[in-house]
Amino acid sequence: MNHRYSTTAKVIAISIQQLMAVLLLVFLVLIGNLFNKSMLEFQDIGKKGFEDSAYFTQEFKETTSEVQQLVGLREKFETEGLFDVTKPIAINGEISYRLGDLQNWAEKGCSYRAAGYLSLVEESYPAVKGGGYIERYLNEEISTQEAINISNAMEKIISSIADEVNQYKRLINQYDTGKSNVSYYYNMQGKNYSNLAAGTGDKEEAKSQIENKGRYLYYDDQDIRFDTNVHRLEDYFYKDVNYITGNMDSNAVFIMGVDTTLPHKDHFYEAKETYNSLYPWIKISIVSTLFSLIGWIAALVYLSTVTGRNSHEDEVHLNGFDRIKTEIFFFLAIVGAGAGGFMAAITGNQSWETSGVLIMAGVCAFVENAIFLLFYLSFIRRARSGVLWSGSILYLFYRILREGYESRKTTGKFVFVYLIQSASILTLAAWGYYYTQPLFLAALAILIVLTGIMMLKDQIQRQKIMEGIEKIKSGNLEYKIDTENLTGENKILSEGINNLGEGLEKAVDSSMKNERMKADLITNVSHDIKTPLTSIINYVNLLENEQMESEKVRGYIHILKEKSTRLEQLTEDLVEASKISSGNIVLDMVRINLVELVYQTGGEFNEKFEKQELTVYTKLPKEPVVIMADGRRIWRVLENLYNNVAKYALVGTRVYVEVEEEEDEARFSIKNISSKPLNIPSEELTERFIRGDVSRSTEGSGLGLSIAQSLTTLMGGTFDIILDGDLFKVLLRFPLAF
Amino acid sequence: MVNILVCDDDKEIVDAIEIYLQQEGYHVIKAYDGEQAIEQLKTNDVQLLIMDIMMPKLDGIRATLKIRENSSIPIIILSAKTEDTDKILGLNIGADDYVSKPFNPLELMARVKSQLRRYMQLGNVADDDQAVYRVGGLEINDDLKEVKVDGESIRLTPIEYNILLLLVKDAGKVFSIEQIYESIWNEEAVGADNTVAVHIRHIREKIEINPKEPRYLKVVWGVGYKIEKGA
Repeated sequence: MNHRYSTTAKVIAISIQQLMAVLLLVFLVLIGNLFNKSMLEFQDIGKKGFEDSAYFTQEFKETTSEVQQLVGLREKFETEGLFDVTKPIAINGEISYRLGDLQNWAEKGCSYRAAGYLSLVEESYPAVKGGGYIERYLNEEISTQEAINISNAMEKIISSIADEVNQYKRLINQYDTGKSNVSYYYNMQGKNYSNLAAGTGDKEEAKSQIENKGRYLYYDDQDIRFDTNVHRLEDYFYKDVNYITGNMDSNAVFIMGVDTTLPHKDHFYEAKETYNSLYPWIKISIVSTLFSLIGWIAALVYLSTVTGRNSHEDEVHLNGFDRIKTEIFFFLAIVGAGAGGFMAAITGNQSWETSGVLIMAGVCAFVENAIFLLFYLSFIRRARSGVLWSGSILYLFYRILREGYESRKTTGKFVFVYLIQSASILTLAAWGYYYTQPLFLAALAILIVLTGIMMLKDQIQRQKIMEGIEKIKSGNLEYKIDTENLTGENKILSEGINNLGEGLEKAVDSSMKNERMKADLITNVSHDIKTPLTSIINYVNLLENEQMESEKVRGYIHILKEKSTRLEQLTEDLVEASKISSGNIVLDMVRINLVELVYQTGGEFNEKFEKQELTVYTKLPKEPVVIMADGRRIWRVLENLYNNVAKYALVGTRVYVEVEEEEDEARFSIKNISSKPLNIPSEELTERFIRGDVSRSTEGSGLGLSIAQSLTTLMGGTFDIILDGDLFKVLLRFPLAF
Repeated sequence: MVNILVCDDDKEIVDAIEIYLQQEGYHVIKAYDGEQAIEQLKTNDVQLLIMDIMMPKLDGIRATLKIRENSSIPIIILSAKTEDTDKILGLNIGADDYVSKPFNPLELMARVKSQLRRYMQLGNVADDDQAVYRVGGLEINDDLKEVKVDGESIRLTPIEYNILLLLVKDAGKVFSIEQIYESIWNEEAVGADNTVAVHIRHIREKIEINPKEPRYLKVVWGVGYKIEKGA
């Protein structure tokens, strides 16, 4: 037994393979996800602190943009560090309105005023500077284009002012002193925007204050000085200078820093928590990815070697899927791959949380790997057993053509007729169509009818042959198919079948003759044995009557008598056994009451059993149990069984006889304890000349059980011998008669 | 003096039969084929013929047919052919009994005696008004409660007698064990046992020469028992 190919091993390998595929994809996606979040850089692996990670840098970069936006908004909306509704907001270089008015204006929405053929934004509030542009346009002080520009600019500002104010409010609070870990300082032409303690005006002082907190960025546009201790921020700066300078006025100074002790629960604090929770997964992911990749490959290699093989036969075993034609198989494989890709694409498009993505990745990996395995392993099995070619549709066509060619003796005619017919039909149909000539259609109809008749005729002949075969098959070997009206191949075929039938009949005849001859031979020989045997028995009897004086001589005579009697019994049994086995007996089947029969048999044997001190326990139903049997033969069966018991049962034991009705069969059983060990299989007990005991000295030919069994079978019953230690049991079963 | 013709091509068998018959006090005439047997019959006064079937020149069947043309003496066929068809053929062409080889000499002697008794007594049967039932050589006189087989008295127990009488009265009818039990014991057969069957066997052993091949009391296996009508 080779466990390498056992089903259990394969199932385990497939399970491992599936598990590894799931792990592999899940961890790959996790790694991808970590990369995506800038949480992981190749140089970064092994680095531990949050402040030194690319993730921090990313957060810092985003914060820089936000802070600069805040600075811009503060510059726009504040006077002396406070939000000022009266602050003029410029629409363009010439026109400006008060901030408060613009806010109200935005709330109400713009109204429009017809001006010539234009529709321009109406000034709902007085301008701080340069109002009345519509009038100026009507007075032709400004051009149409200028008026349109102004109107568009006003529309734009009014629609965005509310958002900008909201953004300002959000940011100013977010980066307020005491709420944020972020400190910033922006100085431009003496104006300061910062969240440092009031009075920190000087840039050097601000710088040293911010630098002390931890990570910082310093940029002075005046002397183009850039300084930072944030990991790799410098790279970004040099790669994209606009990142910082884009939102800054020239000659301005921008300092930003983060307190790395993170005393406040702001977004840096949250980022650190996320980082700390995800960081351990980086190493786990990488190790697991490698591990599952190796496992996946190993399982695949193992499966590739064992698939289609089992331990008890050498050839590759193919399943139903492997028998799908190669072309269809490849088509299905492409469809399967497409379905897998589609599934992955759909999953990839969703913006789920990391955990959701991982679960979907696992499911995808499971399904896709299963599809992959199905096709891959099938491919291996096909390749190994060479059915890639022999199992293809192309091969099927090739084979039909080749076989058709090889048996062209018969197929040639068929192909010829088929081609002529098809060509004629097509030609006639085409002509009929083009010339709209009914003559062609009539010819076509006749051709089709003729073809039908020919096929029908062939089919009728075929039917005759089929009937003949059926008759011969069911035992009527003399049956001959009438070949008179058959034509062509059908005639040859039926003549062949007739010959086969004849041959078969002859064979059966001669075998039956042999069997009968054998039975006759045995009968004749036994006659010839009986004549001298008669003399022996007679003279032995005469000797016995002589009253010999010598005890020894009397003993010899006794032996002679016993042996000659046994020889007589043997010849009788031999004749009977051979007759039964050659089927040379006629049964007279009548209704037999098994209960009556058992009583009768019991009466015949009671003294014989008493002599052996055997006690019979009989269990019989009150009602008659009727079967169909030949009275004398069934008696012979029981007689042999009882004789067997009388001869071989242990002296002084009990014998159990039972008759019962079970569903639609009658059962007779007889049980006894054997006096000698039954050291042979039960089947051999009924084989001729074999007896249960080893010694062959007692009376009987050993044919008794064999004859009983043959007769039982002949009468439609079954005969079973059951041996259990020294317990000998015979069970007869007959169908009940109605 | 009773003369018995013994005909068999096997000289030793003829000699052996002669010894037994002489012991019984019969005179034996010997023949070794069918033709010799017919010759001996012509020249001797023979009361019984024992004849083999398979013999040279003229076989037992043909010889029997020829003998029956002008003789009615009892013929016992002695043959190694034990088929039912052989027995039926032998009895049909006019033989009175059929004994299979190899035979038990005592059985043969019993059959010889039986045949002789019937042959001798044939025709001198008293036609009285007593209640007498006859089936072949079996005779029951119910007034005297006497049973005779081939003229010889048989001793039966009262139950055996009643069973035999029941069967003989209705010769040819098959009685089941239950029917026999109920009419003899006059009570319902509850859980009958082997009693009836054992009695039947005892009767057979007493009235039959070979109880295993009974002439009168036959076993119809799986159905019951009957007295063969016209045995």
